[in-house]
Amino acid sequence: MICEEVKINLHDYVDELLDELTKRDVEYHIRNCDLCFKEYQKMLAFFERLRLLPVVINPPKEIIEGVKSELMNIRGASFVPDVNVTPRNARKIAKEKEKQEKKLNKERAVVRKSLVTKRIYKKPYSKGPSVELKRILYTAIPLALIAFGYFVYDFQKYNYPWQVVSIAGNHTVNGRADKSDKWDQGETLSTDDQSKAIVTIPKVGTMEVGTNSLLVLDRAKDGANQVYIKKGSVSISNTEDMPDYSLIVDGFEIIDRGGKFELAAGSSLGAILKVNFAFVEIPYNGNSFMIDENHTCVLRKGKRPGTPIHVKASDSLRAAVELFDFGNGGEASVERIISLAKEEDMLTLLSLIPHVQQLQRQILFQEISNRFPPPENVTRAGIIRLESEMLYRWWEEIEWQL
Amino acid sequence: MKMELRLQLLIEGRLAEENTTYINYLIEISKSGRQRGYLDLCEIITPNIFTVVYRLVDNLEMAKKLTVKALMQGWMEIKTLSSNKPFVEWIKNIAITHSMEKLIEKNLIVPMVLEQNDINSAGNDLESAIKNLPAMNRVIFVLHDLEGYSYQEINRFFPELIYDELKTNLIQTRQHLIGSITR
Repeated sequence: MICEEVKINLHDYVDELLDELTKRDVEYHIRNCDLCFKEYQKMLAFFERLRLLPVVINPPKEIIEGVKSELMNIRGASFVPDVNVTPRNARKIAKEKEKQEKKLNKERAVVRKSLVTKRIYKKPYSKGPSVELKRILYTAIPLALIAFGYFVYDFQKYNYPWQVVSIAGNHTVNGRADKSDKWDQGETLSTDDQSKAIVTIPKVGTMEVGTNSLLVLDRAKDGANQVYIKKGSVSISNTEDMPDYSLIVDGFEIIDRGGKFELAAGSSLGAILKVNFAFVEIPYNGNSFMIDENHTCVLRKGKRPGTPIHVKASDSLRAAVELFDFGNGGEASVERIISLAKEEDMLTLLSLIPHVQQLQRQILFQEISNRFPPPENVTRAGIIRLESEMLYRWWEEIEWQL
Repeated sequence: MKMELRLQLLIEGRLAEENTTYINYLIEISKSGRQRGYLDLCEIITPNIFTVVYRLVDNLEMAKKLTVKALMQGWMEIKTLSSNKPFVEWIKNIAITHSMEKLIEKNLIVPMVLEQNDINSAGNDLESAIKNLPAMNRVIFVLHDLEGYSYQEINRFFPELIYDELKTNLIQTRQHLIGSITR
């Protein structure tokens, strides 16, 4: 890398936009080039100066006065202009202002950039082509060996073809009546209204394929087995505690976490997942939804995974949960769900808490507490604040009692 | 593993960790129509909002008006604020949008060549050097380096600029400012 490239890349370095390799090249060059090191020091000084800029500029009083006067102009206002801020409120506000300022001081972008710029240190180093060559060899040879080893290791993880056996009628693979009982990666497996089949998934277990199903074996590889379900139903039964297997349906990935579960897809109402034993995981928007045994969940394209419902839940409760999840039922649905919920539906109520407003969280808290008091160290305030540790402890406390 | 995964059953979306309990309380009562509560909220966040607006528009009167406008829009729309959204970020986005609209309306967002004499009056004061930048350079710099917006986010305000142009503009501004403090 030449000096001109380093000068440009230095900005991307500060913005953390460089890939690992380029970043190391920039760092290496700067450590070993006096001119670039000086440039780098200038940038370091600049971001340090920038960090010292006032976090906030004191706003003129007219702003709050302006908002106050505009609020008073609004018809039907409940605002009473003569009421002064009580000393207690004033203290709270001042404290909050301080909190906001501290937060800004700690988290604002420039603080991070000033930290990034401090990562490079000058190292006395004698430059020369032989050193450069040595560096390349020292880096490249082990990398090439590691890459080759990884390739061999990765290749032996492919486990297709999978074995398929018809248990009723005849299944087809890639549209042809299958005589070989083999299902290869990239092929489709289909059944008609008379046929069913059982697939053996290496190091996972078995998958029973129901009638009128169409599946694609997307990846047959230990650690990353994956099947697309276009329509129909499957029932998974694991022989391993931690299987590496997932199903894709309607844009959702359903990760097998052991146990047994069923999935029916292709309906206009979305796919229906039913967990019979242990649990499954559904990643969604960077989070994971866990569906526990004896619970069902509706998966509708373009929506978040539905709230888990106990298999014994009444039809009315199911309808209310569906309205909340997919029909913009809002607060009225939550009230209905609470009124219909029985003891076995407490995990459903608990799962609703992160999706409702604060006031309803309190009602849900009370409702669940009446049947399953929160365990030690789980508080109302913590649950309302959606503290994950507390939500989990309570969930565990309820789960073993159901 | 199982326990960690189960833990997430109950958590969806980004939690409103950025809002403190008191701010969440003020948001709730503001949503129920209590203007006193909203005014308290404004007291708390105004320094933060005013600072970014003032740095963007570099005009005290304009900054005051834009801050009030943003806070009032916040009041009108607070019922739509999702419970998992940081309130300050929400209002700040409104304020930045208004500031950008105003700068565009006044034809201040135009590419300009940075010249060394632009910062002569700034001396060694970085805040003044930033203020003295041409509006377009200043806005890109403030949004990216002080407010932490990504190039993609800034691009929403400058749809006519491509990614590389934004980046070049920022690099030139930084070099210009580095020059101003090392002269």
